[in-house]
Amino acid sequence: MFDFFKRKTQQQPAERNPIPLPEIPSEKMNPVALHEMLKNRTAIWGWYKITDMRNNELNFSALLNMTLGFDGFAVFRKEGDYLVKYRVDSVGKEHAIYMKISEVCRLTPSNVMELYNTEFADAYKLFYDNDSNYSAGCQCYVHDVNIDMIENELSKRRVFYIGEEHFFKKSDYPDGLPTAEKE
Amino acid sequence: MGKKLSFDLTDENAETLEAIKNESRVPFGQTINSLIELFCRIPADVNAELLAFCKEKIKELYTEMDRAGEYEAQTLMNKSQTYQNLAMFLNRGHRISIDSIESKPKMQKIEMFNSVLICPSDYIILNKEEAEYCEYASVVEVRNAKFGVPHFIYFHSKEANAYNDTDTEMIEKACVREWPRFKEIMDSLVEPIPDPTAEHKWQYLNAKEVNEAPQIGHFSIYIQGDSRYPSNYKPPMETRIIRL
Repeated sequence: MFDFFKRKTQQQPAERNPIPLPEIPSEKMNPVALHEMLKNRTAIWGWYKITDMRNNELNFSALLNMTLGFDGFAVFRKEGDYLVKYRVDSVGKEHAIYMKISEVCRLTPSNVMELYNTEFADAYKLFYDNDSNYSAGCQCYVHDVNIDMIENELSKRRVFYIGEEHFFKKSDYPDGLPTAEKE
Repeated sequence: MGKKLSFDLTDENAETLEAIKNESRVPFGQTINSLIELFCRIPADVNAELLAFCKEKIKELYTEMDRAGEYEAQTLMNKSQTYQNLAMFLNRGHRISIDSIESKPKMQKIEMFNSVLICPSDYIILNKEEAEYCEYASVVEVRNAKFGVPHFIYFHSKEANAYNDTDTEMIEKACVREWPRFKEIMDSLVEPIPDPTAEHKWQYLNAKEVNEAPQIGHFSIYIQGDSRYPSNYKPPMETRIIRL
């Protein structure tokens, strides 16, 4: 007998990964392994979705890291002795990725624990970027943050939050940025 | 007689239940009922105390792990994550962040005359031995200091706004005794010079220097329920006197 009413199971289209990086496997989703990855210069990319609720409430990290539409991205990587967070902007029709430094703290176990329980826990997916190769190829906003500034801030608080005042506005420097002049 | 329910367990949890049954002869249902009674129907005050304990442990472990070597740090990270998970359960699924723990100072409690003072534990108490005879207390705070200056508590029979020069001098001497760097603050104070030509006596010739120099303030500690304050008033750093 033919069963005309039997519905064909529709195949779900595979989810498109917006970042060409491998996802962190579940066995490495623990603070110790993530700390090791960061120490070994592996950058960690977080993908956030506003619709990805947490405990029946809005996903705070997703709101904080919005990039385009309901999606958001953030990059966490080691730079010197610091753990640096970048927010990700999508620029132009090509949706070019621009990284914007947003937080700096010391790369300590406690700061990784904090990250694990906040922004990593809120991520829809986490990706790893060996040796920060992919991140190194992305454009970055130019800022004036230096080591003295970071040390001064971290002597007072756990995290140095970098505000808009630290970024150069192209229109203010028609003859090139101050850093370029020095060189 | 209860209800029969069927639900999925992870392999690990099923093994744990089996092991409990084999070792203690406790049936599955009894173990699950005990867990629900203990954790899901926990009295609010016990929940709050356990949560406070977990937060203290997390804070303590965070400090320890930053000082520890590689191997020890990993053990401490795993241990603190267990407390973090427990705290999250007790906190109705809301995560505990280090900033939320650290922004809440540890408090101390000091018995006073017919009352109790509650203040952060890093406040320096200048005359604890007199607390039991005093109804009021004040806090000493310094503005414009070039370095971090702690807060000081002084017990008195009157409120800070009734202090005279002798009172403030005595309190400030006690601050130097308990924290010698307070002398640097006292030495850098700028005495205001009244402007003889000014309309008001509070206009000074050296107003700019006075404003920029360190200044010592004496403030009365809020007495809970004081009708001079709005009903929803929140005193600085939760410092308050509770009348018994």
